[in-house]
Amino acid sequence: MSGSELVVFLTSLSAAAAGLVLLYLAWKRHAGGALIVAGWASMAVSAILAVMANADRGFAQIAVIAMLGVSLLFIFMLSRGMPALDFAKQRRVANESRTSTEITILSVLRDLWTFLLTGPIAGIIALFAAAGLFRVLRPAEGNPATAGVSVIIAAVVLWGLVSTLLLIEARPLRRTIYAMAGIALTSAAAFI
Amino acid sequence: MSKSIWPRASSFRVDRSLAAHTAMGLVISGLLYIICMSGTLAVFEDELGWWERPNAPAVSMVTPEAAQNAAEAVIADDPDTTHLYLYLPRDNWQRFVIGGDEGLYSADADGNPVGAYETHWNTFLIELHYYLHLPHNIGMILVAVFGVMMLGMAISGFLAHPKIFRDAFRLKMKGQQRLGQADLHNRISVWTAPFHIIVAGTGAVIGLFVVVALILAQTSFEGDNRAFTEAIFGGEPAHNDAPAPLADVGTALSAMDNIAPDRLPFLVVVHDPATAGQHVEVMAEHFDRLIYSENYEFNAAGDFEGTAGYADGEVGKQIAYSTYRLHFGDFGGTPMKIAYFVLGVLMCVMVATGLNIYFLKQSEKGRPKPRLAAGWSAIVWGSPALLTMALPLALSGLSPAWLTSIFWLGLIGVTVVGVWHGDAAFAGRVIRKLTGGVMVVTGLSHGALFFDTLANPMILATELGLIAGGVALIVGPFWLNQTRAPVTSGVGQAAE
Repeated sequence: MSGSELVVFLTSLSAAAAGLVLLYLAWKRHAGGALIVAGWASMAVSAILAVMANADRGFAQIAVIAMLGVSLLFIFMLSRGMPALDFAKQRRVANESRTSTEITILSVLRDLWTFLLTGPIAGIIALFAAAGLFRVLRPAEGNPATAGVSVIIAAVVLWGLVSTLLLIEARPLRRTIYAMAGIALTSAAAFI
Repeated sequence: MSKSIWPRASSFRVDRSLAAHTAMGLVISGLLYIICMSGTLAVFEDELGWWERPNAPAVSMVTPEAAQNAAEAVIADDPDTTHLYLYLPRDNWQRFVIGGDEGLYSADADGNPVGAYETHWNTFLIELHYYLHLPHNIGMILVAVFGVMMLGMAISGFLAHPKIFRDAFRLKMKGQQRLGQADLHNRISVWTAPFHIIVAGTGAVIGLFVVVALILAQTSFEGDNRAFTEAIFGGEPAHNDAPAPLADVGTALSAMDNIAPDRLPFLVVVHDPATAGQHVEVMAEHFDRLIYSENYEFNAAGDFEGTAGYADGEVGKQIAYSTYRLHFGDFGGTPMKIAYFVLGVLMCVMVATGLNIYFLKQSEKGRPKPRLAAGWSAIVWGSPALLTMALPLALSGLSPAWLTSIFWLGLIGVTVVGVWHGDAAFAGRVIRKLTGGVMVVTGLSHGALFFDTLANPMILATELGLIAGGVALIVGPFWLNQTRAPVTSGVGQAAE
């Protein structure tokens, strides 16, 4: 970085710090709009200045430093001690009634089994969807690199998203219908 | 900040999101923790490799003549190699490492090989993080799937916690154990979200590239498996196996001063060396970009022919080539690596507290699972302990294969003993103190064995880090407030 770029970088760092302080104050004082807007605006200015100072690397550097700053704050708070954990302590009598929305051991086992099934199914849906998307995004002529990288990123995000959504659906029949429909639609988009 | 920025969430959707988050966490946490922990250490891959071989010559600069000399030495030793590599020194890695298909050697500043470049512990660590010690094809995809699942965990986590931004700075460490763990888990999740999403996402993209390329080959490239890869990373020129004098690496390297004066060449690759089809590729770091490198192409005579276009070509190429530095934090020298290390440790804490919350919740509901919790504690503390114990074993000459066996068998053993004993706190305490002892002994013995290398700040910092970290673990846990946590009010206290 040149001298002027370093100045811009340090200004970006200051803006990030100011943004975090404003957001902290908004949280601390239970204050609404103005402080939050100012905090996020300051963060946005910081991001723009970071790109001006050192392009995409500058943005990544400022983002990491900002995250590290907040993390160090939490580490400082942790250094004052945290309670020792006691996993054997039984806090509630075994026959106490529970509400219907509570997560039970059976529901956890059912969700585990479901996840082992839905994970790969979500993967198939995501990969086929990515292949279908590539056919749309691929330029008629020229290098398909940008379209290709876009669909790889899309495949990763879709896989995580579809896994979650299938797990969130509580009714097995609906979940099965969604999964089958997803595979059918995306495979059609990819191969036909 | 009293109102959530999220749309009002139904309790049913929140419950289902939490159930999804819990199910995913229960399935993937063990291996995910090991991947996160090994990745946190792998940030210092170069520095640890240097520490492992402190006696290899320190080289701060390689002249074009030395580079040519090294290339000649490699081809003399391994005449059938298909690629020839010259790893040039950088600020945080003052080494000159050369080699071909048969292996790598350390070289001195004149380019003369001085011995095999073997970093057993580093190899063991990288194989763990990249492949979980499985065959590479399967291992890399499996690790990538864990990256995908971590993204899924982030999605379900945010859906399950509609007030997560309202509580953005809350970290209550007094009171109920579970709430303290939940606060810690949620605060790390929110404030380091860009970090863990990027790290998981880039890991997944790197690992799943091959899978997506195979599918696209079938759906869009008429079965041509290489077409998509070559569109992004370029293809190899046609081979011509007729013998020829070795390419002029020195001329290519010296030309870099004029072609890209502000860039740092860190790797020279000669493709098909000593054949008529050979060509030279010089990879150089651009300090204002996240791309791994721009690759400068030269012919056998050392004449510049153009760049690969990673700095200014297709956007997709630039993004694809930025994943490595984003994943490992290699975009700001040692300070950025230290920042990545701290964030990586917090990611491990996030995974560990996730299952802690589950076990504490179970005990609050009258279904304590102390044995499973102790097994989890054994994994959380045992895996870094076994990695640490592998350090002195590697220094004594044990191969990566042995280290791999010891790590996994040791981890199974520690977990079984933890489950059998059933006391998570005891398991954590014993393993931590044992780890601390090994760290101190390793730091001291390495320092004594290689005393003459302590003038090197990087080696000295590593020794001091090991000793200080080890003492902290022996003296600790200073981070725990040992007062009894209060019992949840208004509920039965059957086993208090």
